[in-house]
Amino acid sequence: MNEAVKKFAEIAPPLQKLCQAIGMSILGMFGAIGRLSFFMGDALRHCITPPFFFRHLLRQFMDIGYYSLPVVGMTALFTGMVLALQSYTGFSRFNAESAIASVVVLSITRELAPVLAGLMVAGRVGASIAAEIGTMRVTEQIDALTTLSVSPMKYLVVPRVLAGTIMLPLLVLIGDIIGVYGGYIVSTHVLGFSAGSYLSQTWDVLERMDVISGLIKASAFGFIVTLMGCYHGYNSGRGAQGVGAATTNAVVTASILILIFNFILTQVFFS
Amino acid sequence: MTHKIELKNVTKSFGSKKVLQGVDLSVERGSSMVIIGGSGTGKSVMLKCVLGLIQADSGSILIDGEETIGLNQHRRDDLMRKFGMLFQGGALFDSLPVWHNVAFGLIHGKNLDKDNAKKIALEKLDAVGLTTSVGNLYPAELSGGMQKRVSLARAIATSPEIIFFDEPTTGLDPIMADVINDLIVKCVKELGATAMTITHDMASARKIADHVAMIHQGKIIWTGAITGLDNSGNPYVDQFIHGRADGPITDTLAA
Repeated sequence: MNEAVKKFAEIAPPLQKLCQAIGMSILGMFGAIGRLSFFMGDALRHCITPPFFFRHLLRQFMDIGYYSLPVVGMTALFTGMVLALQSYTGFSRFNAESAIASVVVLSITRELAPVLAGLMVAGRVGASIAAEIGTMRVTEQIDALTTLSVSPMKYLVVPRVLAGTIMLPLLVLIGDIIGVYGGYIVSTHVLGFSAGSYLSQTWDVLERMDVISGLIKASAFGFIVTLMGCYHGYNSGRGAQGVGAATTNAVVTASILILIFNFILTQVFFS
Repeated sequence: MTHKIELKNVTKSFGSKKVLQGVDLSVERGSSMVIIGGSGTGKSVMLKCVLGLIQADSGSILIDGEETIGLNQHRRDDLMRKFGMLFQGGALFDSLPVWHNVAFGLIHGKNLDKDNAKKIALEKLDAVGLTTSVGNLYPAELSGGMQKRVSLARAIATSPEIIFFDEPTTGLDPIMADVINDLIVKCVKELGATAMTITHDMASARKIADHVAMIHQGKIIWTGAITGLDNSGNPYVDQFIHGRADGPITDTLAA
């Protein structure tokens, strides 16, 4: 009996430390989720109450949408081309080359265009939003907005989140077309398909839902990327290090959430 | 005279760190209060509590006799229109030209149209000694002293009833610091505003202040008229205004 108590007394303190560490990290996680939810609720509430900053919204349409076009376009083009090449090596083994067109168009519209566009925009836009708003936090510009009777949520967060949610589907729609075109180029010029049959195969297999589901995903990803950028920038720590950490966190959390929500949304649409 | 700003037993902690430990302070209408104290004693936090940028934990902050802790967003926005603030680093919006920075509160806070707001902004820039051509530059193109002037113009642009100055002379050469001090005195007098300044620049304090309060370890330990500063009889104040390393204030930063 005494032996057992002694042994327990020995292992109890490290055990307690372990439990405390686990408890702390779990509490921390729930705290972070709670803070993020409040931030999101606040942002949504400010989306529907005046005043609105339309000029800022237009500028964000340009920044987030138009200027992301080259990145998203290049990504889609080369993804479509690679997809055609790779599926050819696989399908040619059992004489199923005719399936290439459908593989390309379905993978692009359902998965690759929205996910890759989301990830590229997370790197391009999410990082720049976090860095910009984080620097404004550090240099007290956000406090200055408040003292000038302007809500930073309305002035900074709402235009960005709205622009991301609206512009990403448009980007993905263009990406869809470019990606399919990439597959078409490789199939007709490298793999020797006839243009007519490739296009008709593409058109036959494509259904409206394939494109629409991809666009809804894109909208969700645009919301995630811009919200993460704003949230981490808004709560940035002090100094250059704080802004750096905010930028990293914005990109990492946005990327992971994109992958998680891609799974969830795919489940919802196709099961 | 009635009190324009009144703080009663205001406390604020960040985690286990108690920054404000019961601040009591009142500022008379139309007077200029300067708060002195070392770095990290809670000067900035106190100012931000009054502005509502930081929520105080307990106590009461009265503006014009009205409680401001726990105000809803709408009332808080209204209250903000009474305030002007000059931030330590200027906090100018670097994406906007200088004139728009100054006009920002007029356009968005008071809903003036752009042309009128620009006209007023250029007048205010003139009042702080900047020419019209500066108005079209961006903040990044200005020197530190000019940025301070622009922030001052922005703080006074909406003719606020209360103006806060957060270390207005920090980072400026002595001559430019004196110019800014003169401008602050002039602008506050012209507007008839109530001013609250935090600084550790004693030359600046002597020029700007009607009253002085000293904050130490999150509490106001002395207040009085500026004329009484040299004969305060308070060892903390004496040590601070003479800038001596020895005295009752010891390495508080380590705590």
